[in-house]
Amino acid sequence: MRVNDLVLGLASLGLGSAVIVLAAGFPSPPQQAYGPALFPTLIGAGMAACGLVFLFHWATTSRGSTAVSLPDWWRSHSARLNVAALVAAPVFYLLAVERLGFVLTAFVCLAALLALFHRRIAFALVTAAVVAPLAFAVFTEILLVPLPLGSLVEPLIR
Amino acid sequence: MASTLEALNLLLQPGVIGVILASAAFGLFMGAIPGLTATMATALLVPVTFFMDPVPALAAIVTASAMAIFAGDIPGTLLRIPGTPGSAAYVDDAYAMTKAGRAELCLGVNLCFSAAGGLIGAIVLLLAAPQLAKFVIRFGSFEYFWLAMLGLTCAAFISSTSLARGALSLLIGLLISCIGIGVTTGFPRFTFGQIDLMGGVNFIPTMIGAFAFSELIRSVSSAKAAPLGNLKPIGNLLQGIAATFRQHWQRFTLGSIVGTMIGILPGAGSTLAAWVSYALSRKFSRQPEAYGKGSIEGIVASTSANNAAVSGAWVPALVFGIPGDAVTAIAIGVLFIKGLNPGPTIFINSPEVIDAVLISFLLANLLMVPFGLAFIKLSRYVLQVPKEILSPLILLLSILGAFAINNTLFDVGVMLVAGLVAYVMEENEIPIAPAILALLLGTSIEENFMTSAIKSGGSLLAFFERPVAGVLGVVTLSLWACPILLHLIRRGRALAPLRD
Repeated sequence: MRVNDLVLGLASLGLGSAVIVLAAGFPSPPQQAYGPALFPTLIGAGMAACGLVFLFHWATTSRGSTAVSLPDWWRSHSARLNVAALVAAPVFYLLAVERLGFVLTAFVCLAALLALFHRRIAFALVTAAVVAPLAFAVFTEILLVPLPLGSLVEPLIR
Repeated sequence: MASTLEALNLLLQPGVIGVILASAAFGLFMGAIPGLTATMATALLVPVTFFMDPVPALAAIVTASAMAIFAGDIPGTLLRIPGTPGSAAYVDDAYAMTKAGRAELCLGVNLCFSAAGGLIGAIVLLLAAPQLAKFVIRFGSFEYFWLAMLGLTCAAFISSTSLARGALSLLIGLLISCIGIGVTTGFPRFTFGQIDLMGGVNFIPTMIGAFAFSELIRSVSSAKAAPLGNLKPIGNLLQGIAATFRQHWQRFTLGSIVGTMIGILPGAGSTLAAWVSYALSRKFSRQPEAYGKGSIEGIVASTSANNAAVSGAWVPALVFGIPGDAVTAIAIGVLFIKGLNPGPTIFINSPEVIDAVLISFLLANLLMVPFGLAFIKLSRYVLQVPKEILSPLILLLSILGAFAINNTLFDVGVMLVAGLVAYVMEENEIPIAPAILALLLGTSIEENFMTSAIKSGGSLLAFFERPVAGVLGVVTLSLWACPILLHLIRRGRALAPLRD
């Protein structure tokens, strides 16, 4: 998603100003010269300055450019679907892993993405069925990372 | 000499050799997977070292961390996903070389120059440890502040697009580093009541998201069916290395020396070493425009630097008990557990420990070449797999890597958001590298600035009073002023003929 310098400049200016406003609400410690507001204020000012540079650049060179242009792949239905699935997978993981547990959630994510990208359902299911438990075993047993068993699944196992 | 012989005797036992080989394999694996870092590898080794004597325990840590820092180059080169933060500085150049069909040369360079850089670092550690430590102990918050600012300046100038975009990226990174409970004041900033944000945004999930997830978006959205890596059989990795060395030995020396020096500084490790070497190499380069597009000069400098920094980090750790980086912080803990107190007394009471660390570094960097060769060839087979199959697997690994750092799902969310933001930034030619480095250094900069300001009672002139701080400060400010001055001079020259 490309934006032109006008939008970029306005966004930087807006973000910088918002940061400065928020930082103004931070308390200042009584005996110190500088408090928690200093750095955010400087950062906000810097962002606003960058925004002004972009606006100046837009005003002097590229006035005619389109404000927001979608990427080339947006035109392809399959590419849109691929990206949507890629973004949906971690979201699904975040929502489901505590209940379903790592193995089931990873299986669903892998199987769905493999089936969508590679278009061979049997292969997707088999690969996901192998990789999900394997990853669970490696990460929990060898690397000692506490992957969730899942609140719905755990009573069945124990 | 007696202590060296004793150290050799302790190390060259079959059991210890076995431990070194196993930790080498472990370090390679941990470094090669994005999200699993050298620090994590070391942390996971600690329970294993409980059962070992001090010398093999330290040898295991040294070997694993040295291998991991090299192994981070492999996915960076082949997939544009740095395996460890230390490889992030030159990931664009390395990937560009892969796309141009020169992956073998790039990987071979990474391997051999990492090993050589690590050896240089080990030799410097051996020769100069006590002297260097005497200099660095005088560094205070003023010096650390300017050093971190210098690091940020280098990052902004590395970006090849407009300076304003580089600066914006830097500021975004700094803003993210402000999130959380404030450094010196304890006040929560930009947390919006979220408990998970109190500790700030973690660097590793952000890096995985910014580099791995955004690359995945690009990969799945492009129509090309070609696999992520090229299908050519693995060529000779060592071909062309001698020629590269003859051409770029100055870069190698620069990278190794700078890397060791930065490694010696407490808190500054292989990541900063790689960035600074890359920026310096570019500054002195005759072809700076090639950087970011496949310049091997930059790769030579930074890949030697990050491995040299691994050895350099042990100097303050052994001499003062102050960690040079996160890995040595853990190693110091291990030393305490073993009843060896790091500090000047260790040179007197247990000199064989110092020698064991040195010999382990020499062994690890020598082992790196055969192990690394074998490992690279194995990793290439993974990339013969078409990207449609690899992408979901990499996504799963990214989720796991992001989760594994703090064992919190929040970091998976951070990875997702960072990936989306980084994708949009790169679509608009805003580089993400300065943001990542700013996120890493932001806390240190603010903490050192605040500490210095408190010490000086709010006076800004105090930042230039101490000699080293003054020099670093002037260098940093002139780096900032240069492009603006040059721009004004150029505009003045362009306008001059019009005036006449």
